[in-house]
Amino acid sequence: MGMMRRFRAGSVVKAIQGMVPLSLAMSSSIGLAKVDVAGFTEMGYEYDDKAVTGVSRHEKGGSFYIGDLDLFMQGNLGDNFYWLSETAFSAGTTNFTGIDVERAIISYKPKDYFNVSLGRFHTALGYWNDTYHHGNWLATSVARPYIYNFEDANGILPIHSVGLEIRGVFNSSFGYIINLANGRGATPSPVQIASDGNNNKAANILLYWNTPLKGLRVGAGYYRDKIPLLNADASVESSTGGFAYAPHNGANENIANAHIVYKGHNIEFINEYHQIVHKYDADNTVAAQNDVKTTVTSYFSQLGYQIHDVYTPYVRTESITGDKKSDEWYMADAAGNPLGKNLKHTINSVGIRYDLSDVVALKFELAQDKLSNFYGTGYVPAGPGGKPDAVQPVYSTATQTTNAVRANVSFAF
Amino acid sequence: MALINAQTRTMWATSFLILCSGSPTGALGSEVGPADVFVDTRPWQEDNGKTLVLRDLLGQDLVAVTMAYANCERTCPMTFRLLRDFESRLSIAHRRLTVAVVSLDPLRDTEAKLKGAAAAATGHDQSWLFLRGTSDQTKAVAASLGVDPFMLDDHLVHKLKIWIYDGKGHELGSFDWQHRDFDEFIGKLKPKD
Repeated sequence: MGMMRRFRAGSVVKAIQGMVPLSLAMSSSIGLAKVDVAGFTEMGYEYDDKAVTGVSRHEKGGSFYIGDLDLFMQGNLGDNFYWLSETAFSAGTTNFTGIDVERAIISYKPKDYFNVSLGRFHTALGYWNDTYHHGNWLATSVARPYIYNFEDANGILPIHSVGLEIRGVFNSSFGYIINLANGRGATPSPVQIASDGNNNKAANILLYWNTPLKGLRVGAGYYRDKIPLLNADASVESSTGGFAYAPHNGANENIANAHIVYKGHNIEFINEYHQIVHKYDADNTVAAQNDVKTTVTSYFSQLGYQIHDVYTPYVRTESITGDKKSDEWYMADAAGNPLGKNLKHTINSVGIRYDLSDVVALKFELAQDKLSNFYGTGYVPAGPGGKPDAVQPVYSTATQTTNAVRANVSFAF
Repeated sequence: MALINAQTRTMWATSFLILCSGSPTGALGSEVGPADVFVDTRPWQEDNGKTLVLRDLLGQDLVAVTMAYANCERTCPMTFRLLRDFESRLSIAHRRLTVAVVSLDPLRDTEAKLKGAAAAATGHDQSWLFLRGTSDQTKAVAASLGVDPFMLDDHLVHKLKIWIYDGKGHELGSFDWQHRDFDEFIGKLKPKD
């Protein structure tokens, strides 16, 4: 397919002779490693009948949009060393384009049952995050499940991690993934790429089993981190001018997850469950009492059936339920997140994917999002100058229903 | 259906001349040698432990060569179903198809796994050949068939390509995502020698 461009030192003649068809071959800049380049992107249209902070992907009304332009590069460094990078150019509702190095990994892969990687990767928190990455074309649906929204898009989970990953699979059956990483910072976003707010590292393990029934995979995992909390006194700044962390033990974060996935006989059935527990001190003291505990529970289930090889109608239901108490840590992010006390968030989607070619898919999706007991965006009363002081989260017990129509063309190149 | 394949300069030139003269599909003459995949004399491993050189398949009525891998979720099951359909239609036309499926992922695939994947996709066991070779062999065949594989984490994204050859190893055409009119292909086949 024309999705691959290869840069290989000294291989121009071979490529021209057809050894690497539809590929471009040339010397890499360092002259050592072959570089495989591929990419994913999507272009589409979305109509939302409301714009809800933390929920809507676009402003109210209809918008054409360009999704993530995801450049995927990888290479074989020899002697079982490999590298991989995934860089996304993305535009949000502000229409400014941001660049994120979503993944950057060097790996040593001597055996199927033992691969070790260092860098920024997708945290092994279940099935979706470690399977579809940033390639919209890879997934059947238009939108990701809400629970897997990225950190900078009101995501609830630590989708990305920076650190160490060890993974392997025995006899293509039993697999494991272990992560040791910086973990989360004082706010859900940004990812702690270069500076960890505390010395505690996040530890994560995911175990899965590709059962003898071909296509059926079951798995479960557990993630544990200690999150540094911001100092309540905003006037205190860190010595580097960054976040000023409170002098206490931070919040404990524990995420349990499980998944059952079946892909076979034209059926795609993905089921995932997550439970996020935060424990921290109400009085923000050095003595760790962990007297506040909040639990967020989420599941989603997606069922698709492929017809005549190219049509895949699908349905998906998602649910996110909050605790009786608000999880204020999520509100520390300026972008805001609708997690309020007694939150109830359900999303039901129905759609169809039509594969136009090997690497081009046309998708159409209808979604209804119901949200109650949430934080929306509001304004504090006008200050002395007559202008609103700041955008503030406002708690609402009303049920907000948002309907969306989405269509896109996604492809690999 | 593609009528020509860019494998050798000779093939290009010959195919061009044939197209210009309006010859039908499958009319490549015997003056042209067999396709590249049959020229390579390196052995492939079968799932029964034996080895096979692709040239050994010459002499059969029709030969199909394609590539797949066991963990493939989208393209390969479709390839297997198309092959099964094509094989059935050929059978009605009293033609016999020998199918060789070359593993795109020889490091992780066993032939039995690949065979299992095909059986799962088509619903029953096949008499097809499932072959595994070295990394270099695999790359050469992938290039020759034009499947353009790209490793994306655990996925091998690749193009759907099924090449059909006559008993002398001459290309009769290929099927891909957009081109899979089996009846038209069968209608243009020359009678068996």
